[in-house]
Amino acid sequence: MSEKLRVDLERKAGVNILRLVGAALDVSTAPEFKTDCAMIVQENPRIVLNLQKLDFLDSSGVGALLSLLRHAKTGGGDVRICCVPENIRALFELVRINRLFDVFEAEDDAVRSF
Amino acid sequence: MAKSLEDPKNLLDPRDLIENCGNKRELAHRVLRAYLRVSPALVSRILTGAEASDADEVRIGAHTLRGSSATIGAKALADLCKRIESAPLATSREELMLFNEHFDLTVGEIQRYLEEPA
Repeated sequence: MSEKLRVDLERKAGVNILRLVGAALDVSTAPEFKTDCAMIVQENPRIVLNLQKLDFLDSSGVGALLSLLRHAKTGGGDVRICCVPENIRALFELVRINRLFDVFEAEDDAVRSF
Repeated sequence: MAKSLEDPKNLLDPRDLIENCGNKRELAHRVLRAYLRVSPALVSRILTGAEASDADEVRIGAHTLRGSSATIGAKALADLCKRIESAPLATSREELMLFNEHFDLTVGEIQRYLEEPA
């Protein structure tokens, strides 16, 4: 992944936890994120996305999340989001992301929800 | 995609904007910076609305973005928004992806324009 974004993967209780760490999931990092996620989803489509250490998300980032969700659902899984920082939370509320994703405060709650 | 979208000149032509700002370049820059702040959320609204099959959400997002894009001189993007607005749920995922890519190109062109020396 680029300098702007790192994805740390942990497997726990049959779920792939992806922790996004870095400045942005945006136009410059979204394509690589999508490619990496496609492989992870193929292995196990039950995904928890932890955004705690992500600073910024733009429309390409939202597009990448939607792409991840589609891949996961196609594979019989789902994507749960947790630990959303305040600035990203504002965008999520505006676009009503909870219509598409279950969003949790804590990572453990998101893992247990599967 | 229509041919006009591939022409970089159609990404941004701020001449009307500058004229409407009384030929005050700094004022036009402020409008463009406001566009950069607000428009990504509108694109996200269109994308998530389409994913949720929410025609109103897509229509409102596309309508708002069309107006602001036309104001700053991003005519090709405004045309794309018009197409989405007229058939909110008939736009395929591939078209929405291209729309998003075109938006990113437009943003890049605005940033390049803002960095140009006066």
